[in-house]
Amino acid sequence: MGSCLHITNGDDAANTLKQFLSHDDVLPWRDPMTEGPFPAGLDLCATSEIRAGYLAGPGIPYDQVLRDFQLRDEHLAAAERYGEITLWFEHDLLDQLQLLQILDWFASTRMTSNKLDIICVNAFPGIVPFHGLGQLDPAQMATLLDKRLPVTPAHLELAQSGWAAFRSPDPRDVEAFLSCELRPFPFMKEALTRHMQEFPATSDGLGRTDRQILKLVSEGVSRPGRIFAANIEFETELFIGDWGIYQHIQELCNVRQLLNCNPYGEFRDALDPALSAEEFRRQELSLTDRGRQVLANEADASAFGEVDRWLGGVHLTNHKPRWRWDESARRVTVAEA
Amino acid sequence: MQDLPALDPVFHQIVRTHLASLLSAGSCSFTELKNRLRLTDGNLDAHLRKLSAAGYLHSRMVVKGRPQTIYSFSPSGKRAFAAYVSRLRAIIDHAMKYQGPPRQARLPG
Repeated sequence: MGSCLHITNGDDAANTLKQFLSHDDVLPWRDPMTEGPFPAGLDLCATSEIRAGYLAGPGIPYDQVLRDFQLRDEHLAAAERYGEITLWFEHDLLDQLQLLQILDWFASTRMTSNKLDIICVNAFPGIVPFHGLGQLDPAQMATLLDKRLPVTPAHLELAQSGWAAFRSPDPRDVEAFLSCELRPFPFMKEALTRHMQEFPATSDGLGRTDRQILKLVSEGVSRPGRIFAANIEFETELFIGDWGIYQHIQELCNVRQLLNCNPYGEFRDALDPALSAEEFRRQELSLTDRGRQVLANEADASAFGEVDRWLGGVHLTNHKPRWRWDESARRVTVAEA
Repeated sequence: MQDLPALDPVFHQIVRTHLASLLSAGSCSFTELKNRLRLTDGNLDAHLRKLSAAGYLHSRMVVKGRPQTIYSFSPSGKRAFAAYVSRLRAIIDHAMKYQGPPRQARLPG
């Protein structure tokens, strides 16, 4: 084939690449990897089945989600056919996880890495704040080609360790990985630390995104779309999209009952086929008494509702071990009670 | 006899030839492809996977009420199908050259 393949973080960046690299193939790595399960020990194919099961829901049938994953994985498996492969990613948590997964796959195939390049940026002149490649136009994106760096054996080795740590059932493995020399991945430490902040905090039992949402609602930001937009201000490295925020709201409202939602009594998903876009937008959230107590540090969020959440390879439940994030010590601990 | 050009096995299968023909005309959703080709979901899945495994397929996600994936040829898929059609044409031209003019049907008696 002899042509080039460009792998990037999603459709926005992929569509821009297609505009100025009209002779090359482009593969968007679609998966909101910061949410849902990545159990240890599974290959890419089995992982994609698990991911499809997690991401499917009202309005998105399992078969459709699985098909997209399978076609993506088949295209990746065709990598050997290309003369050059370039990975285009940014600094945030989602992109760093995508990089780990993709580079781990390349490491496992033992494909020669001498045709593999990486572009990974956390800024672009004139774009402030810089959230990601999706903000760039084709001409701006084209200038990044000069920033290409070759993927080295050190990249591949570290990616295998990092990917294993992220999928481990023990979050202390991520901490151990972060203590390694991570120079080939200059944004990894900050990104994975943000991942750890999603574990329930020792102070209130809330993950950071959940706390940000409750705080916004307490300040009067009550519509789901507004909450998504306002949450951007809380993140120095934005990684979560609207779908992810709505998953958090759904759990805070329908499972933990820290939020109340009018007019339905429960939060209904944007993809709910029985709900119009206008009906979705009009949903209005408010704090319940439980929510107020948790936000005031008078109660621990884990006391409310059955916890059932995956962060990478860690399945958080009400049962032991109850992993907690200690923000002041910047480390993960196990709750005794 | 002169060597005839090899045909790309990804396209040299009747359903995939039709599928490629549709994709060469523009991008299509899964449902459009399924209806035009009169295939089951599983059957179309299998053929799309063959194209993707060769690097011939691009996709983009559009959200109109609910998310939908739209498929098109990748640039390498477009080039490969053009090469396939050109080689097929060479084979047909070769066959026509040796077949001679079309025969008249003989009437009995």
